[in-house]
Amino acid sequence: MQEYTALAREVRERLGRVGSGLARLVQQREDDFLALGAELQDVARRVQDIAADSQKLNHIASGDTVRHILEELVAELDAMQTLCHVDEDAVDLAMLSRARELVQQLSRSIRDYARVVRTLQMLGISTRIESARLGSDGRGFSTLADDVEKLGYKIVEYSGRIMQQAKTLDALAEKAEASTREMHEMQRECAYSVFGSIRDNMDTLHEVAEGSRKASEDVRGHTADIAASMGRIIGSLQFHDIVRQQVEHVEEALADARTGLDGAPDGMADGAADDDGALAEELAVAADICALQQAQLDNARTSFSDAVSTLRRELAAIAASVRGVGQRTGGFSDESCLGEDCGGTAVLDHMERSVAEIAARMLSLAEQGERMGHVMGEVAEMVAQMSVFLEDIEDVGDEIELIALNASIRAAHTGEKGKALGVLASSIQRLSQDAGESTTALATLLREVDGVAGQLKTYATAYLDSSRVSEISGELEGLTHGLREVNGEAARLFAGVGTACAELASRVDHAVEDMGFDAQVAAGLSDAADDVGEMAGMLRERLPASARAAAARRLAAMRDRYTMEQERVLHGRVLGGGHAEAPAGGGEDGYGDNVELF
Amino acid sequence: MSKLIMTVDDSASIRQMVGFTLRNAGYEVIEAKDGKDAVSKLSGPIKMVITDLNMPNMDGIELIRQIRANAAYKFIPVIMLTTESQATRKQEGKAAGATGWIVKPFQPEQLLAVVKKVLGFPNCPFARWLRQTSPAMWSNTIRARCGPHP
Repeated sequence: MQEYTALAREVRERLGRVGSGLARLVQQREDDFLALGAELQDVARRVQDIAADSQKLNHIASGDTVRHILEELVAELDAMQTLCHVDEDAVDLAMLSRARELVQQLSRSIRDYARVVRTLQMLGISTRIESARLGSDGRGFSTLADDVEKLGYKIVEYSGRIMQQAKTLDALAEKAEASTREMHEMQRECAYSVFGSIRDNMDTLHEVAEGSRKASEDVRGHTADIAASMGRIIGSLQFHDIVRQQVEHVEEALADARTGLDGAPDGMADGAADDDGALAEELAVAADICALQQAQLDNARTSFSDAVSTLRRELAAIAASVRGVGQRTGGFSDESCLGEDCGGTAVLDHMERSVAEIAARMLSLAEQGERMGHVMGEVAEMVAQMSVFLEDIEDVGDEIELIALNASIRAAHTGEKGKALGVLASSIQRLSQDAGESTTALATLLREVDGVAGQLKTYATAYLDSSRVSEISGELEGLTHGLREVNGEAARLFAGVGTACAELASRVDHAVEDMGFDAQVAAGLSDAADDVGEMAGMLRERLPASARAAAARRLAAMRDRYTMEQERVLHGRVLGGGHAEAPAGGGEDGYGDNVELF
Repeated sequence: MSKLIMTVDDSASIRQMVGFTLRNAGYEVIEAKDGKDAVSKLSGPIKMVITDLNMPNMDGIELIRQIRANAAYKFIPVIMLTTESQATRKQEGKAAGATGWIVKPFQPEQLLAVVKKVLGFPNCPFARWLRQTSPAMWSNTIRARCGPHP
């Protein structure tokens, strides 16, 4: 009896030590769970904000605004095509070339006039000599000689002016040709780069739209992952309450065992056999309770540790998903996301630059066109001025004819003495015919020059009309402005989402790192389990089988006090009694095994 | 306007998780720490109660009885959310007027599906018609929405 009494005292003392504050071990962690719960709620709110901004950003990159820009670019294509159209026949160049040819022909014709001038000079001298020889009879011929000389001077003057003008015109036409070639080159380059840019932009837009669609799917996937993790975390956070209850039940069971031992030894007479048997039975009950609570505590520790592990794992998963949202925001696939030039804003930047470049090229083209227009205008003006010489040249022709006629009449009047002058008159008449032919050729050339001038003026007017260029440039500027606004909004969102994701992920990481309370709980539960397990082993070694059989019957009733199925299963597993894991009784409604609607 | 749901549990962390789940889904939530606290807060447009079973001061079964005794809340759905899974306890809850029983831990989507079901179901005229053809068809869920069986 003394042995059992001492044993009972020792066990009672140890049970008191183990049971005291066992439930508090879990209970006092409630603040940690509540803090985690509050953190989770804040994370959920931030994730919702981030997901909304991310989807908004992806919508911007693939949505109506960019689609509108795409349509606008397509619409501008035709207009730009017209403006950048390269005149493959190069009519303007041909026209300038013709103008230069005409100038050269004019120069040649003017040189022919030099012969007329020389003849006129000779005729003038001859007329003057013959007039002197005739004396008073040839007096009228000196007037004729004067007229011939004057005409020669006039032709020299006209020819000089025409030659001077022709030289200037040739130089100007050469300059216009060079400018026209440069203009054509610019048009070619413009057409190439504009269409290239449009094509690139269209490809980029499609790429962005497709990238954004995929990114949206990925973001949705990440947010769904986060929601799933949240669900698992919510499930795990409930284990504080579940494990607390389980440990409370352990505490109650250990208190029961202690109470059983409280009543036995002190009130019994030393050496009484019945009392000895009763104490042994109480100790056997305590042994079974200890064995049972060891299993319950191990299970509680495992449940608690599993729950906290799940919290860690799912929080880390949330941090990874949040980072995923940050990386997948903005419309590019991960593969193309290299370095800083990454994300939809980069595409929008590129587009904005391209459109601005197109607008700049168009304006540059318009400026070049304007310069061309002025040069063409100068050429046309100069060519037009040359046509003024047409009248002078025609006057010269008329004057030679008159002089020739006058010479013939005077020769006739002089009779036989003026025979030599008749010869001169005939020469002047022939010269008149020659000069007439040259004049006609020159006039024809000058008329053609006048025609070319008209056409060049038309080109000059066309080049100088930059209104359509200004219009398209304005439209492109509007497009650029729209892009800038979209880009600004996208950049703001991108920066916001990026920062928010990085901050949130880092915050969640810290929450995971700081989560160390489970070690203390697990250690406490493990120590308690070891303690009660050791007591159970020690008692079972020292108690007779008869006492243990009686205890088993008494403990069968304890099963009914459990609230959790897991507790009942463990009870059956440790002490027997055939309690299989019972179906939860729910599940018919499709909400899960743990749900039953009545 | 969002619906107001009362959650009753002596565990603050459970109240927090139930509240988080419901508020996230757009419901308004009022919290009570036990049956007695819940009864004292039972006023206003409360459309549903989610309660624990084992609580100090007043347990979940007694709370259901008190709710069913209150004319204003006699037919609102009451879901038991507890670690208790014994059939006898469930039967006790059902008899007291519980609309359903969820064993902890719950998953948010489970809880929301149940809330949606008991707040949205049934179509009362259809249920009454069904009741005529099948007299057994008058569950606590239907009673919670449509009143006592005809």
